[in-house]
Amino acid sequence: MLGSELAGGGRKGEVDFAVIIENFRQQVHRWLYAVIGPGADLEELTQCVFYRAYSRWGRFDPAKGSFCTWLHRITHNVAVSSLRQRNRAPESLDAMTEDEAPTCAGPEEEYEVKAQRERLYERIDALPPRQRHAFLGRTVRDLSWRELAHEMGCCLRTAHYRYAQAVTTLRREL
Amino acid sequence: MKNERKFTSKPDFTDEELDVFADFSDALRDGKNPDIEEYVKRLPGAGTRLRRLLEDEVWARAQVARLRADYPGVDLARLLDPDWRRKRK
Repeated sequence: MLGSELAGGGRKGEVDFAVIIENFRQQVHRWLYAVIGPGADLEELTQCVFYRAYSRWGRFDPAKGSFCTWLHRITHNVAVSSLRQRNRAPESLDAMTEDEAPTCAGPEEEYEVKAQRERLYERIDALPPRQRHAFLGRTVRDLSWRELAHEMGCCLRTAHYRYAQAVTTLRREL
Repeated sequence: MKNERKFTSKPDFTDEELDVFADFSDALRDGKNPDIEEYVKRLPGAGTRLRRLLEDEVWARAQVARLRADYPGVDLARLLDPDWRRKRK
């Protein structure tokens, strides 16, 4: 029922949003968590995502992409807005100590955010050098495959492989 | 000690899986919002392993995006340099 309604891009009245929320609530929650992590009111943000989806339903065009993709985009925007509100820009990195790094309210949540960040640093540090190079090249420096392969002195396929290994290892280890 | 950590199980991927992965990664890098299922469908029979690989890529970029958001205007390459972090402590 839901699939056919969404594929047709039905009007608000034709789509039961309660069913949409029921079907996508967990997914939205996971997407938000992946970007924001613990420490935010994910429930409130989840509601915000569905409110935006409801209020902008007329803009959803199934010809341009699936409902899931559209909802993911809204979720991403909500997550980024939330992060921006939460953060204050430091004057410079050198002036900021680790203890001053942006966190959220509450000592337990603050601790968890800090611990999660430390775990990520440790896992990246622990990657084999070539995987680490590939990971930082692609995600931090935004290198193209060609640039990465050239820099690493390997072929494109090897660059793909090393980067794939890096992201798989990081995810598994965290 | 950290760099002496050993990874016991190495993921292995086929050339076809890596092609799909590379395209998907480029789409994310270009700021698009690629649909994992659409990319998984490009390789009939690939299923769970390819889906997981693409999810890992989304996850990895989300981690870096989060760091960027936590440290606006900061050079992440420095932040992720263990020597530099050690000196700051």
